[in-house]
Amino acid sequence: MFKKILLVSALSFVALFKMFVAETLWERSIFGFALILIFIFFVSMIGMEREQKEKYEQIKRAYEELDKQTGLIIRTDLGLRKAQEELDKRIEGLTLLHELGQSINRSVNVEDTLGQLTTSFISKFGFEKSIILLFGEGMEAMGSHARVGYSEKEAHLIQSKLLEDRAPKEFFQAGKPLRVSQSGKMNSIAQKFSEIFHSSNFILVPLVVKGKAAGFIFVGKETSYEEVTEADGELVSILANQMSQAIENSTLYEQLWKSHRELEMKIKERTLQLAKANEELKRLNKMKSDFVSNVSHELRTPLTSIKGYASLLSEGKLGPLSEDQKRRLLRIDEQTNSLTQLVNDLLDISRIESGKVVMEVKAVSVHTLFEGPLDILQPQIREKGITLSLEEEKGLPEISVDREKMERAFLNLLGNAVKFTPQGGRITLQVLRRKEEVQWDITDTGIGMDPKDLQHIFEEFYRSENAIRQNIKGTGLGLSLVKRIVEAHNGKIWVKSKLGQGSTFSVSLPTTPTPRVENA
Amino acid sequence: MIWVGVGWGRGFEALKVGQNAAHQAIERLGKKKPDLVIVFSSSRIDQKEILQGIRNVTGNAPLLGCSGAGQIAPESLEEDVVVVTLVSDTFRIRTGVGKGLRRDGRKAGQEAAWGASRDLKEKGRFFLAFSDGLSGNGQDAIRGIQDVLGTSFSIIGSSGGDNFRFAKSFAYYEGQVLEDALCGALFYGTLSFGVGSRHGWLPLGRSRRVTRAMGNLLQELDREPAISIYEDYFGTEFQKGGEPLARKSLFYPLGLSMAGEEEPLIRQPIQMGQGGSLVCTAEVPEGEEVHLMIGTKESLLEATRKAGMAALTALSGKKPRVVFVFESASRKKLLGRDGIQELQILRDLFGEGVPVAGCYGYGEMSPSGSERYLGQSYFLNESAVILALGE
Repeated sequence: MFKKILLVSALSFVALFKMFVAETLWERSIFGFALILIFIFFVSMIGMEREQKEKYEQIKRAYEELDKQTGLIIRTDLGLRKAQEELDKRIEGLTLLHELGQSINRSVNVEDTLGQLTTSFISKFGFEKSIILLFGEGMEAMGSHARVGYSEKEAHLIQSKLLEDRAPKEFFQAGKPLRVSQSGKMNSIAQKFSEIFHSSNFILVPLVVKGKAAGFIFVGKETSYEEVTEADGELVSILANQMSQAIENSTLYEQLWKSHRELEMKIKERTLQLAKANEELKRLNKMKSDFVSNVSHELRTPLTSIKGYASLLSEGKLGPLSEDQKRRLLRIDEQTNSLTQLVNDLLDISRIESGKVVMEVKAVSVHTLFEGPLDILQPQIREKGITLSLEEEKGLPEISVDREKMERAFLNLLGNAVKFTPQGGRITLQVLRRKEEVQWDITDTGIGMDPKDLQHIFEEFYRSENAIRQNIKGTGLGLSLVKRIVEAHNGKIWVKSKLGQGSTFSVSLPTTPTPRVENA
Repeated sequence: MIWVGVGWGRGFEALKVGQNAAHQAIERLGKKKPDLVIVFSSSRIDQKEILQGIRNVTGNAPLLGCSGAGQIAPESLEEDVVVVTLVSDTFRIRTGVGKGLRRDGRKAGQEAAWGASRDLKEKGRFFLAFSDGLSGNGQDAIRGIQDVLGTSFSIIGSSGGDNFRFAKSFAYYEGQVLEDALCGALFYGTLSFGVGSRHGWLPLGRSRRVTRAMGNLLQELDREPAISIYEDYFGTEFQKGGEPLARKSLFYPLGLSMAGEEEPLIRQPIQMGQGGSLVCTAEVPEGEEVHLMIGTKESLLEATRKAGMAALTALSGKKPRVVFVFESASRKKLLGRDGIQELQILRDLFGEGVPVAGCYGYGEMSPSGSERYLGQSYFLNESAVILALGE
């Protein structure tokens, strides 16, 4: 501008000077006109300069305005980017947590669960330091896990420092997470943990299992470029929750497994004991059977002799006998018979029991099985005036049995019925078919039995109190033998009875029996 | 003919991970002994063991590489180790190493280039370089290499990273894990290669002139302390403190307008120096115009495409066999989960079967204006450098 004014002034001065020194009017007027032109040019130039300056100022203002807006753009961009980063981090973190959750679900003990938090996981989670500590009941440390960025010695030091102090214990019991970053303010507890863990950029989340402080997860960052954020805090809290749940589950599972195992062991042990006892019993039972069998066998020979000599005597072949003597000899004969019966029964029972008996199975009609026994019992039935009624279903199939043994069984059952039925009583024999079985029901109107006798009457030498009271004779072996014979045919026997009203003995045999044919 | 095999893996048992990745690479190579092994590895796993694991498989084959803020494998960006093995019957490779990068970057560059080119009668084609990314002035090291190989010689490579910890990064040379060092391989013989580099950052706001600077220390902009450029824009946010400068400048670097270049040259201030000065990863010349830069996912991905396109064009019709990507860690951060799109962009450009491998570091090396091919090489920040070998 200054240059322009100088130039215009110089030109004006030259024109003015020329105008004064000009010789002719013509020349003077030309220079005067030039002077006017210069003046007009000067004025318009000043106007233009001003306008330009104004425009320049305007542009400059706009430029500065725009530059200020740049700041706005940057701050907005910064905010957006931070949000994006947080979002990315959360997505990544959640994906990781999801993966971790899946593998935690597969682990069944606490060690396995904590073992999932590898260095790799911690690092991918965005942290360079981590330590997980579990507490026992009395807050005593039970060892550290997932130790990253700390030596074993440092971990021990942290443990002991945490135990020394009251404040940390209260913090863990409160169960609230703590996030400490470099830019944030630290309260006294944050300060304390910062010192203990040698970190000022970390998250500490207590593990709470069943409402009790069970430990904590500590994760921290080493880099000064990234601070732990709220998102980190939330993710670690989720992780802590997952871990607490997993620890609780594993503990429960472990307990369950342990008790299950204990139970299994106990059962095994007991089964073994029982098996041993069973073996012993079997052995003893066999010894007993053998003994009974041997004794019975040995008894039979002298019994035959006794009976022989007694009959020799009673027949008078060794000299005449007085009535008294005859009566006594008859008693001897009777007692010998009953003893022989007893010995035979015993021998049979022990034989069947020890499997030494051979079953001769043949198909026979149902009828024949009780025909013979009834014939034998006919005199007694008649003598006691007992009414015998026979109800036999028609068209019963033949059954395969050892005829002689089954006849003996029925003789025993029918004999009992006759024996226990008083004068003028009634005996009913029902034979019917039930599905694949034939069933005999022998009902008498005898003395009946007390309910407590019922469960014992098939035992050897057991006699019902009622029978003993009424002085009815018996060895207590009959029913035991019957039961064994029936069972040897895969059949069943049971009894219903009411004291004083009579009893019903039922036998059922399969129509196609497969008797336990056991050879000695 | 070029044979290429790439192997990769993740995990924390470094020896095993390295061994497995190397096995994979050798298997895919189809040859027993590679001419060169290039390793990109996470700094989170044991560095010595990883190299031990790899060399258990590759033996004494020349080995180069660096730690990264992330590794690029053909199909994923989440791997801990990527191993590339190369064999060729048309070109050959010689390696060299230079130490003491921090004290004298230029000398370290010279040593590495000298080591690789000593007694070599032929002219080399390009120099593949890897360095510790947290030491010294990257441009100085490049100047050292240029001292030996020539001012317009192509220098391509990456400086290491360390997963955004900014504490320790490493260069790998043979079996050694080196800090404060630069190593490289000189490729010579018959070889087609194409390289492209772009960053995709856009200038924002008014420009400022560098009025005082010394090497990588930017002192004044428009006669004000250099830090003012950040203070002005970030406002109270900036003064609030807490977040360090490097974290902000990672996403808002400075752009130097370069005459004749399509994109401004990026410089990242990593620390605040005395009197409001900014410590950058490479030098900032006085008199240049500086802008604050901003990036969007779209602009960064477009830069990848353009850089790839430039590399592909430079191959001039030759079939690409392997693509290397040397990229800035900041781009990884900014792209976030969309980073994987870069791999797709490159596959679309070079073809599905061509393996892509590389790393995210704290600085890149590439000839600038690579469309003109003979451009001078620069130390770049926040960029993507794509190198394709073809035949």
